Amino acid sequence: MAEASSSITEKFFLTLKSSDGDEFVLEESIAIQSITIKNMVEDGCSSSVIPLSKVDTETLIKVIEYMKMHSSTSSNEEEIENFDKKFVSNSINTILNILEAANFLDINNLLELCAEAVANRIKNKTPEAVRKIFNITSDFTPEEEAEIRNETPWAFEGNLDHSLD
Amino acid sequence: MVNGSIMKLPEDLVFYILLRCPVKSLMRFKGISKAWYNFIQSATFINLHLNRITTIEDEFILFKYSIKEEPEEFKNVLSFLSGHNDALNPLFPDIDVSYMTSNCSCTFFPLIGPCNGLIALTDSITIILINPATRNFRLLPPSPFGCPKGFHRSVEEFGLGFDSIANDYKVVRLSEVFWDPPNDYPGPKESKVDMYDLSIDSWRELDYEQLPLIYWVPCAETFYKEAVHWFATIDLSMVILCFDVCTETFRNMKMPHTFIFDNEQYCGLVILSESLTLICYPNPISIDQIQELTHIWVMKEYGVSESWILKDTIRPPPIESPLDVWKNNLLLFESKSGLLISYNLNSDEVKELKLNGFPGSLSVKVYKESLTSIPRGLKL
Repeated sequence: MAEASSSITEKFFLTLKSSDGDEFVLEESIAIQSITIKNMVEDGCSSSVIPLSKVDTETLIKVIEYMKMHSSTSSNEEEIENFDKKFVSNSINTILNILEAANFLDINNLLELCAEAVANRIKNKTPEAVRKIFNITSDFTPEEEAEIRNETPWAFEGNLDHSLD
Repeated sequence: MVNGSIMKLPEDLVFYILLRCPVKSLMRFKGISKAWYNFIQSATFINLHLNRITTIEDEFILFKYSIKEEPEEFKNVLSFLSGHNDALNPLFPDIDVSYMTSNCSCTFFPLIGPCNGLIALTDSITIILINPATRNFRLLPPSPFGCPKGFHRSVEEFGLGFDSIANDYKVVRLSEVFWDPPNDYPGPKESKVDMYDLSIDSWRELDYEQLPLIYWVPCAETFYKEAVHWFATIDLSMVILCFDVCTETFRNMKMPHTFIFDNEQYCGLVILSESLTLICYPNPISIDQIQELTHIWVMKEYGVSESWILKDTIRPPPIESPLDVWKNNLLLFESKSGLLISYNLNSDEVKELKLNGFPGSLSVKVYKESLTSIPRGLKL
């Protein structure tokens, strides 16, 4: 903390606990990018460990990585842009997990980044592939499905992506 | 899948993702489940999708041109284009608009709109409303309003707008009716305004005092800030005539005060960087082929005529007609030989876009795709 002497304000640290029970210590100024955490701090719930029961360890590591990059004053725009680009190249499962965590933690920028990334990844996919990714079972009869396909046959043309990532 | 880590995503997150998907993907995703189908079809979703944040990458182009087939017969064609790296690529094959075979050299009116992703085309009698993104269209019933025997009704302008209060799309038609007997001089002109409401699928006549005389130019009709704009003249000076689509009232806006209304220059209206923009270009009929100056005026504060500022003065190749602005800096225009040209307002670079038609027949509308539905619409 020797370096903190240049600043009058003392650095506060928070402990975040994932659903897997792992604890992470994070500077408060970084963690409060999450409005959920910010509200907890303001309500005085931050003296002990903050349990994040909806976020697993793998996801929480990613979210902390993101918050550190996006709060650090040393990272310039280009660095952030490159970081974001690399960040969204994670598997679609991982991004969906981060998206849910961003929603729970109320980190708007991260939510938008992930939603945009998922949209980009699924936009050329077949309905079958999207169903599998989102774990959806079709409740259409084959006839109904054929009818929908018939409404806009052009939407099913072109090189559609069957992959699940 | 692996680790069983995939969960059913909460509905609002699905919403969030789908809002960022193009129309073509959404049409395909309607087949995923009943919930997704209803979701994508819902008025709430359509409206949110319409108001989503878009970039210049989300701009598409509807291009209309005519080809001369017989000495007095023209074929009208629509091209649906997307643009990447300043090149235009077809989204799907061109459509021959057989509803409209015009036999006069003026072909038909320029495209009308866009308004929330909808565009209309007309030959002054037939009107077709299109959503190029969903590939839906509808042939509107013709207006029942004609004129008494011995009179002539001349259709001067069309407009397409959205009434946010009635939540309805409206097509407005401005006409002039005058006594026109075969062996006598024409009588004074009287303005007539009729309007089509999409939700009730019918025309009605609006009652107005005399309107300013419409000054027809190929690139005028612009829907902006809930009003349709055209050019008109009052006492030999030019004004911008505005029609407020919600209140169904007319008003005028002044041209820049240094603008001189004479035969030397023509005007066009476009939207540039979300501002109403006036393009003053040399009269294409003048014999002079030398490159002359074109002035670009931007109305900084909408409705305030003192806020016109001269944004740019450029020297493009001779313009037949300005058409639209693409990617916020490319002025698209038709050259005197009927070529589609782009002029980069930042770099002054001039580029031929390898699209052409019969001189004077080109029309371009840059639009953002939307899910806006056309009731009783048909498939393209």
